[in-house]
Amino acid sequence: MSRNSRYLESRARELFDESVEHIDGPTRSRLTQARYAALAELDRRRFRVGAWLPVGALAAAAVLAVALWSGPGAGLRSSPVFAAAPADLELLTVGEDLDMLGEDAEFYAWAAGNSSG
Amino acid sequence: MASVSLGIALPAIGAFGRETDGETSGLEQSKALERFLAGVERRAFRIARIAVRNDDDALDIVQDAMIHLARSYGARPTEEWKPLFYRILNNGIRDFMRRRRVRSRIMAWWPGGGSGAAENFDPIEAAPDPGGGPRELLESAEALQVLEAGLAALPGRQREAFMLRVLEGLDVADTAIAMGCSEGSVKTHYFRAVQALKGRLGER
Repeated sequence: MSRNSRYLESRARELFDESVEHIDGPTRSRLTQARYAALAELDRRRFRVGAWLPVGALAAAAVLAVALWSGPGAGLRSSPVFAAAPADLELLTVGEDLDMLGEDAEFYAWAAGNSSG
Repeated sequence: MASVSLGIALPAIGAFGRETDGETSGLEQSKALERFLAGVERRAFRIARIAVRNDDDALDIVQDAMIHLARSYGARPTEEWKPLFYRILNNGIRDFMRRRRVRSRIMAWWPGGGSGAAENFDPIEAAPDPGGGPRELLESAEALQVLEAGLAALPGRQREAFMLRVLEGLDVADTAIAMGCSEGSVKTHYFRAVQALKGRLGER
């Protein structure tokens, strides 16, 4: 690069820097306002993201719950344990005397011993 | 506009009102952005002012660029802000100039609406003439006016390359990002800008 080009560059930079230093007060003030407007925009954006985060977490939890209830977990309800549950409930609700269970306690103990053996 | 992906840092949720790392980094991010904008706003204004030759328009363009940077790239690493900011600013200037050209063409068709004076305006001719060659011109009391007029007369891409490289001090790689072109193109535009400026200042 020639000496003239280097001079042009350095002088241009010098003149530009001087002009930046001499920007008038009202313009500086408007630039400051513009900067605050930009920072407010950044805060608004962060707030929007932050505000939606709990909502997203709740939605994800709800989706997970629905998936567990109606998805692969649905097979649990057809398992013997879940199938026996209504029968047990019925036994408790028919109002029959449960003392009968105590009368044949020895028989049940014997039956349990035999079935496990 | 480059398709720079939008990275948004998700703030952590504070437990029991405790200040979390996310909130701290959010505050630091705000402070970093404020420092950055405070450092570039006046230079950006001068660059826009040289291009559009109007204070209010230049201020609007700078404000839009600041808001765009905060909204779209505020979460990006701070070292990326400068080229991104100048890219947004240059796009803003280019859009403004395009709109102004269209407006002046429409006005030229309007009866009595325009004489084409704005299009034919030559800032070099309009600048005061202290006489002498480029060196004398740049040392004169009107040196800044002469320089601004010379820059305003350059084709847009050449002006961008010169301003970013010389006035803003960006390196070739960052200038390429800011201009949205290859480093080779930056070098070409820059070389032509210097030659054109020297030629125009010397022609007077």
